[in-house]
Amino acid sequence: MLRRSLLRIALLSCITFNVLAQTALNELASHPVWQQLLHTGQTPVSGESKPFYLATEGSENPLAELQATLSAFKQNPQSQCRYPARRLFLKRYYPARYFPAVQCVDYQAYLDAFVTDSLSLIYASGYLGNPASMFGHVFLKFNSDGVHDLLDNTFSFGARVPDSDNKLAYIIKGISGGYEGHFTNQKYHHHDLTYNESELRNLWEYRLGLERSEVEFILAHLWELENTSMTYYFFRQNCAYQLAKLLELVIDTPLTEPGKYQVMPVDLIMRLNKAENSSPLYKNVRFHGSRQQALYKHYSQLNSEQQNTLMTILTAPVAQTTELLAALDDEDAKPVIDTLYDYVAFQEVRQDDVAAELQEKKRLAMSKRFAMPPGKVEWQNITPVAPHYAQFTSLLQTGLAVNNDVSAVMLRYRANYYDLLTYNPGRIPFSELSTFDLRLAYSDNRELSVQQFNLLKVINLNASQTGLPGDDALAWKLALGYRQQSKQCRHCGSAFVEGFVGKAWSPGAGHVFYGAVSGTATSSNRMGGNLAAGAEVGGVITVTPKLAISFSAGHQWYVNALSEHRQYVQVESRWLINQQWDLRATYEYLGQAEAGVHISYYY
Amino acid sequence: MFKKLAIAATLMTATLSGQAMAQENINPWKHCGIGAIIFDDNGTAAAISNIIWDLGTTAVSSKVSSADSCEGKLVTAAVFIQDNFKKVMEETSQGEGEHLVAMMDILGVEQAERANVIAAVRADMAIVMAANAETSPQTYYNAVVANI
Repeated sequence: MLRRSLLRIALLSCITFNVLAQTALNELASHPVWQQLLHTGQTPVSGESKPFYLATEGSENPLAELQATLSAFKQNPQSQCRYPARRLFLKRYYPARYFPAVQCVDYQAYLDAFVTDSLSLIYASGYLGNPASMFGHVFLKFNSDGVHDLLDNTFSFGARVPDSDNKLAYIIKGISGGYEGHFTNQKYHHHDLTYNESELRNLWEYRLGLERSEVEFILAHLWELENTSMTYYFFRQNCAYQLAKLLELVIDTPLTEPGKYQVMPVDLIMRLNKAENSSPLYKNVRFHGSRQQALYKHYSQLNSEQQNTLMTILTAPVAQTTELLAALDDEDAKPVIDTLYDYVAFQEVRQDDVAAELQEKKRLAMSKRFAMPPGKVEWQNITPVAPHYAQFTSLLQTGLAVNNDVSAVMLRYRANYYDLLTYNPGRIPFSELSTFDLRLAYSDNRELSVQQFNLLKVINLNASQTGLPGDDALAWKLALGYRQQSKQCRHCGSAFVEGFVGKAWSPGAGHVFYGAVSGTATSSNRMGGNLAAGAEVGGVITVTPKLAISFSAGHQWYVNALSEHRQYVQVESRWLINQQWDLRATYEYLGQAEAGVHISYYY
Repeated sequence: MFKKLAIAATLMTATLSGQAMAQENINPWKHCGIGAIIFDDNGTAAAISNIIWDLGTTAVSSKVSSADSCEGKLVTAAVFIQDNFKKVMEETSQGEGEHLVAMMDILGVEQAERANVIAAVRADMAIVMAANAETSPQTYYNAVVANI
C-alpha cells in the first residue's frame, strides 16, 4: 500500500516537473528576444554552407528550434560556439539548465578583436546618383575610442548585387526580393572612402547608450549570422530594418515605425531620437562631413585674398601656380593649398576625367606644402543640423481647393520622402525625392477622382555654393506617374514621364533659381500631342526658417502637333509648425487656375 | 628602427611578430596579388573595387585569426596606403592627420617613434615631389618601410 502511494507521488512529481518544464520552454520560445534570434516572422535565414536552423521547421516554430538547440548544446557541446547569442540567452533566461563547458577559441578571438564598450549607428545621407542609395544607408560601428576611428570595425547589411545587373534591374529585383542580403564586416576607413570621398555623402554618427554586455550580445548574434543570407527587399527588409531588429535584441522598444510598411534609414534615426520611452537612445551625435562639405567649410573660412588666390590658381595657366602661392606667406598659403586639395578631390568625383592641368596645379601646390614647415590649419568646426531634426518621411495631407467656383476636398498620401519645401536638413540642398505620392479630389458633386499619382519624382538643382568653377552641375528633374492633363477637367488623366535639364543659381543660403529645357511624354494626346518640349523656370525662396516658397512656370509645344501648346504655373508656400505638421498654400495653373490650403501630417 | 618594431611586435603577440618577420621581404604588390585585384588607374575605382573585394570576405573569424603572410600588418598597411593614398599624401604634406595615425597603428609603431617616422617619410616624399618624380602608393610604402 505504502509502496503504491510512493510510486503515485513519484509519478505525479515527475508529471508536474515535466509540465512545469514544458511551460518554461513555451514561455522561452515565445520570448521576443528568442524569436528575434531566429528572425521569426521575417524572411528566414539561409545558411550558405550549413543550415542556420537546427530544427526542420525552425524558422517558423520557435519552440521546435529551442528544443533542437537545447538538445544540440547538450549532445554536441561545440555547437554552443556556433550559437553564442542563443547560449547567452539561455544562460540568462534558463539558468537552471546545465550545458557542458566549452572553449570557443575562434569566437573568443573574434570577440577580442571586435568587442568594445561603445557602439554607434551611422547614417549616410542619400545619394541621388544611384537608385540604391537615394534613401540613405545605416551601418554599425564598434568604437575603439582612439584618436581616430578609421580602423574601427563596422557591420553593414546590404544586397549582394551582381556586377552585370543595371540600375533598372536593381530597382525591379530590389523591390521584388530578387537579391539576397548579407551582413558584412569592414574597417571604417572603407566607409570613409566610399561615402565621404567617392560619393560625397555626409555621415552622422549616433553613439548608442548601450552596456558592454549588450554590445557583446549583438556581436554574438552577428557571429551566428556569418555566412548566412536573408532575402533583401528595398523598401522593408533592408539595411535599416535589419539593424533595427538587431538593436531590438538589447533595446526594449520597437525601432521600426508601427503601422508603416516601408522602413527608411532616416526612420531608424527618428526612432532612436524619439523612442516610445521618450528619452533619446543615443548619447551624442558626431558629424563626418564629405569632401564636398570640407570644401565648402574650408572655402568659407578663407579670407578674401585667399579666396581670390584660389580662384586665380584655378583659372590661370599652370605656370602661374607656384608664383601665386609664393606671393602668400606660409600661414596664408596653407589654407589655400588645403582647400585646393578638397577642390581637386571634389572635381575627381564630379568629372569622369579631371584635366591634367588641374592635377598639375595640385602637384605644384603639394610640392609647396611639403617644402613648408609641417602643421595643420586650425579650421573652425562647422556642424550642420543633424538629420533627426527633419520632418518625418511619410505624409498624410488634407485640404480644400477651389477651381472655377468648384471646390473639392483634397486628400494626399506620400509614402516618402521629401519635396523642395520639406524641412530636411540632412538632405542634398535644393533636391526632391518623392515616391508613391497619391492626390485625390472629392468634389462638390460627390465625385472622387485621382488628381495625380507620382510614382517617382526626383529633382536635383545642383547649385554652386562657392562660385568656384565646376562647383555646380546640371540641374535636373525626372518624374513619372499619372495625372489630370488640365485643371479644366476631372477625368482627363494620362500616364506621363517628364523632366528637365538646366542650370541653377543660389544667391544665398536657402535661395535658388533655375532655368531649364523641359520635356513631357504622355500616354494620351487629348491636349494636342504625346510629346511636348519647352522651357521652365523656377526656384525656392526661404523667407524664414519656418516660411519657404517654391515656384515653377513653363511653356511647352507639342512636337507632334506644333500648333498646340501647354502652359503651367505652380506656386507653393510652406509654414513649418514642427517635425510632424506644416501648413501649405498652393496656386496652380494648368489650363485653369486652382488655389488651395492644406494641412500636412508627417509620421 | 625595424628592430624596435620587431621588439614591440614581440611584446604584443608572438603571432604578430611572426607575421612581421615573414613579411620582411614581401612586396605586397608583387607577391600578394593585391595590385591585380584592387588597383586601377583611377583612385575612386580602386577604392570601390577594393570594397567589393572586402565585401566578399564575410568570414570574420578567418580574418582575425589568419596567420597568412599576405594578411599581416605590412600588407595591411600597403593596402591601406593604396586605398587611401590621396588622403595619406595630403596629410603627409601637412605633417599630421588621422590617416597617418591609422597607418602607424597598423604598423604597430611605438608612440615615441611616430613623429620621427612621419618626419622622415615626409622628407623622403618632399624630395620625390620636388624632383617631379612619380608618386605612387608603392613609392610611399617603400619610404615608410625604410623609415620604421
